Amino acid sequence: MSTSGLRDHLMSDSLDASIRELFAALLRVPVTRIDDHARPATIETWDSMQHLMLVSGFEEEFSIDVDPEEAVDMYESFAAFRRIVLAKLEQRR
Amino acid sequence: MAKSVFKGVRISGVAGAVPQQRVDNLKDHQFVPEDDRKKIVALTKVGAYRRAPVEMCSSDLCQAAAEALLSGLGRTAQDIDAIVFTTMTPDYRVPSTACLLQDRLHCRTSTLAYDINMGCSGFVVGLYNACTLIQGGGLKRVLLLAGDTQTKLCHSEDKNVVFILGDGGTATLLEADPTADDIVIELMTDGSRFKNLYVPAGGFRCRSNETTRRVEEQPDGGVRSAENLYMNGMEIFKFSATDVVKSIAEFMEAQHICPEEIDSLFLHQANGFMNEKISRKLKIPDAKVPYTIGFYGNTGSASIPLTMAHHYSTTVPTRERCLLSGFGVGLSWGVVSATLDGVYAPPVVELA
Repeated sequence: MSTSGLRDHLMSDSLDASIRELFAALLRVPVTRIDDHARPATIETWDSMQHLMLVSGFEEEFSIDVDPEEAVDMYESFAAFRRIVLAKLEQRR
Repeated sequence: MAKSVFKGVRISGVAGAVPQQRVDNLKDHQFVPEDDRKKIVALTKVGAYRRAPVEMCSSDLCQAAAEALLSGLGRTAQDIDAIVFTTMTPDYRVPSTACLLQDRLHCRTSTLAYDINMGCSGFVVGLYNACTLIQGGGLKRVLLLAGDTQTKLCHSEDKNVVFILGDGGTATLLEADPTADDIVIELMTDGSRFKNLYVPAGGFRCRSNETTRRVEEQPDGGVRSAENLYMNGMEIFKFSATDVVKSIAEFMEAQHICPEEIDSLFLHQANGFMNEKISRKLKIPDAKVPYTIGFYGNTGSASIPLTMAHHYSTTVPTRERCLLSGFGVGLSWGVVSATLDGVYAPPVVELA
């Protein structure tokens, strides 16, 4: 792996960890419970009100603006949530 | 589609009334931890709302608003040809509360009076009815009353709704005027999703009994009985984020209205976070979107006219091109385009 590739890989891992940690913190669950399969049905604190707080929290932390339809799609799973956050961050670059 | 252009109908004035009793979302609701209360308030923007005492009904609030409105406009109850009352919280199941208000306001017995059982889209649906009565029916003056005491539909420990829903009543006077600008109204309904926002029991489909009155913790974490209002928060957010936004955008395109041409967008005061998303998606600047949700909460059918009353009673009357969007129970939703020219609005009444 090249130096820039390694750097991007480490930054990506770091970003992924940050997203996972913030997500867990906002839902008040251990970060170990947040994997790609985590869904509202499996995380008892992830209800509709909490979801809007998640979206709002990520908007503030990462200075992104989530469209209403994207906010709805983010409710599907942590994987969907992370995918949209990453896409928003990529748009800013 | 139910889309109509109404000619010769003027919105002459709008008035609001709220209960004096104030609920402070940061201090009350002690069943929710303080940190959570702060987060909910930050998200919904509902710092406080008004709660009607047991003996105060929507009709009392609407009556107070109507009296202030008619007096300020120099009209009398005898001038009114029809009363249309939109509410989810009537005084009685039978008869229409509008009939009682015909008497309490001292209107003529030759006054048409009826209720429309609608919630957050109630004002736009009621407006459609009132305009039809004037343009189609040849009536001269219609009093449109929109009010709800939603706090009475909620359980006090259902955190899904208790931070948001408040009480209020309004009166809007519509008059025949051949010089008035057109009012365009489009209404939509999807009854397949009605269970996302409804009161499951206490009607005739599921009669009230000991079981339906039992208060229990529900799967969504809310504490309520089957005779309290249930809201599927995420489905309603999805509805607002998709159908409502689309309806306003398509309406604007069909009517050739650009965001820059709108002076005021009056959205149903559903939830601060959601409403900001809607207006930003439509590219209508925040300065053009009046809000009352911060201090009156979501007042159901009253929320649009209450926001109009607050806005026009605190600004200098001018000519404004407005869009109104109501959305909620049914599910039902609607959009209105109207030009308000010097509309009269007295200060919002506080009823003890």
